[in-house]
Amino acid sequence: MKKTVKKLMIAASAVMIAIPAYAGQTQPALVDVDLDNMIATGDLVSARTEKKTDSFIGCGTRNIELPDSTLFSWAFCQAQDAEDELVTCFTQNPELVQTIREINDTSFVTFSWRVEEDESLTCTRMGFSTQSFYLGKEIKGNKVNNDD
Amino acid sequence: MQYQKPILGLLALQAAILLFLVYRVFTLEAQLVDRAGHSKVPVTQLETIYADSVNADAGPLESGLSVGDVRRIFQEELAVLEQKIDDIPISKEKPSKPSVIPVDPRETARLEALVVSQINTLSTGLDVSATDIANLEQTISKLPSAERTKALGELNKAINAGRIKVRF
Repeated sequence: MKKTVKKLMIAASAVMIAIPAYAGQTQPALVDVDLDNMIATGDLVSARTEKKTDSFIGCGTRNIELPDSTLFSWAFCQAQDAEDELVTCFTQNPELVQTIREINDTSFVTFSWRVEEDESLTCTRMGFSTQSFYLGKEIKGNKVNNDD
Repeated sequence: MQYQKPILGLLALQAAILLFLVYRVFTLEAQLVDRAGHSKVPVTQLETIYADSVNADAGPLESGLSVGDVRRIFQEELAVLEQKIDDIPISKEKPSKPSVIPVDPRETARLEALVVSQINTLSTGLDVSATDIANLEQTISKLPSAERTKALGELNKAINAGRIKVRF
């Protein structure tokens, strides 16, 4: 009888401990580079916190002023997954370059590319999604204060 | 009475101008009649054709042309025009911006050689410094548009081949 009560108490404790873990959906997207289908995906937090790998993913821009005060702008996306599959693509498409401003610290990033005749890779698609479920579990949430 | 002479002079001048204008009107009218006589299709006949076409059913027109003739002429002319339009090459590509950098072949060749040299220098497989990559980007930016794209392609290939280890 004592053993049964003890088991029930342990189970109840486990349930109580587990409850905070379900406070909000998490959907980590580990970095994946698919060289066959020419697409890379992953969220920045998962890439940064993934253990024992050199995974990373992200996009950026370069804007260089020319002598006539116009800008030479181009963008790049790059990713490496846990299997060390690595890709870097460039684009000079001004509309695509503009989209990179959507990215932030906790974004999910996805991009595609095509292989040019000279075998360089040109980015053809860039997507960014910023949602709560991409935030790491380690991030401390705001403390709810119902005492007021 | 002291202004009598100048007034008479002005009247004479006015009369002369008036006579000249009358003469010009008659001359122009004569020219118009002459040109109308040389016209292949008199204005009145064109008006008749137009009136016929507006009121046409199926019968022959007063001008001698049937409605069918007029339609056939229009169709033939339209077919020729359509063929000409089809023959015009249409580019789906956006017109590229003209290169803002004046193209100097010798300077371009020098910069291209510099890009190749910089890429080769960076192709050690070791981590590349931010300064080195910035210098390369500056060199690339000085190239004309087509050469710039080519240089970026070379950089991209070197990165994907693992020759240049850079994380922008």
